[in-house]
Amino acid sequence: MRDYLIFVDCSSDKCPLPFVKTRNAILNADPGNIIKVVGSDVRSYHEILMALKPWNAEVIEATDTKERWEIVFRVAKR
Amino acid sequence: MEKREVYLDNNSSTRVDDRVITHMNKIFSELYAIASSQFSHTPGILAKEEIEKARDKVIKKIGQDRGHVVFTSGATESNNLALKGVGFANLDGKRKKILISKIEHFSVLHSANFLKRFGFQIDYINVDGEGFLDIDHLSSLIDDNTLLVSVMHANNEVGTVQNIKDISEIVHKYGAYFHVDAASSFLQIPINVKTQDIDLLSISSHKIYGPKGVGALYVGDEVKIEKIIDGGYQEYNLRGGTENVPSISGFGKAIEIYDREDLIKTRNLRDYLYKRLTEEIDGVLLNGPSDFEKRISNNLNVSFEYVEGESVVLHLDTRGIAVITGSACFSRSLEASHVLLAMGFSHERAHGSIRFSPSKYNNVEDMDYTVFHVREVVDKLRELSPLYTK
Repeated sequence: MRDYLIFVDCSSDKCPLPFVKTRNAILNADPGNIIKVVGSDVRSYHEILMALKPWNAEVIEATDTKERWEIVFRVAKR
Repeated sequence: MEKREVYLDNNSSTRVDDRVITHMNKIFSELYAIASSQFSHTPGILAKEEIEKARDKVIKKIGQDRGHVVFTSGATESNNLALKGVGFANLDGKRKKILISKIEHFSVLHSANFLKRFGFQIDYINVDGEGFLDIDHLSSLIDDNTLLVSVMHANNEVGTVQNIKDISEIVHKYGAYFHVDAASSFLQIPINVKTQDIDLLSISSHKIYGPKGVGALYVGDEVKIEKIIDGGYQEYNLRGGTENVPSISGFGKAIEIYDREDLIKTRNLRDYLYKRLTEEIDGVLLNGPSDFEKRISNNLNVSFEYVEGESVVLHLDTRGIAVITGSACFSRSLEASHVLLAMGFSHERAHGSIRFSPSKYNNVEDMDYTVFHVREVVDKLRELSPLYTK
């Protein structure tokens, strides 16, 4: 596991809040920063992964168990 | 496909025209005095004259020959002044009923609701499945106790344009005042307070490539109204406070340079976008009038079956496309659009609605880019939907 700089806790959030929080974290981050997002809402997990491509983010790790998921990614250059 | 920035939320607000900005900068620098009467200093008189030039431009566009045009901070304040101002001025009268359509802007809905505290009865007029006012329902609600009827000219979400003359005939048969919120239609659809028999008319600047924070309310001569913002005697003693000369003048400039060719351009872009969306994506449902002649030219509102609007908006935003949804989840209220619900739509369809509204600054390439990404986003979101089967 890489060290992350920014942690976004969406453990108790439902769609679309995890997506919104992730986007806000990216907007406030610097290029190259590593962000870790954790949550439990399954739909949000898939939607965030879907959005990381147009955001040009590099997915470092993505894990999904039944109760909890984690996505770690690097913010792209703007 | 190379990423673009495509702003398609012009029913909310438009980019200010560069010529308006240039004009306003000049006013900021040169006409900074408080606008005042001919009995004051010259800089004040010049500032006042600048306001009057803008007022004349509004007057010409709305066909006014009596009454006043009062500059405000925007259509929201105009609507507040129209409803509360008329309500307060008529507290002692026998007319205690106010009728508004179910699809009005919140500034009308909430102002009407506020007046309940002062003993007014508010009744809500139905609309049909395309957003047109139910004239029979209006006729059944209105009576000699009706003080005011407020109906928007064009709806900001689905673009429906009402037949104002038909409504005003019924309203005036009962001696009530008729207020029209034309924030979304001003300059797009001709409006004439004289021939269409309108007593109060709200308009806005920032939807016609003018600055935000300025609008106006036309008040007919015969309307009994009082100010809701106390201060000095500005604006015919109907709106206290120092006039915002640069913005008022910028509003006037936006009116002056408004080009109907741009309307044709945005309508063609809107039509092209709709054609391509329906060709490339299945399950596209049109919200609002199917006759595009009866909706404002830069409005397209559709729902995509099996897809939530908020997800589409968020994913399109990641691709540089700015649109909005009728779902109010963003505001955390978790309620669907009151407009779409009033039109009889299910919560699912209302939550799935997306509004695309182009401007003169868009082009065909923007529409092609949008269609490409909408299709991709909708396809992927449908893959996530347990309800969707190809």
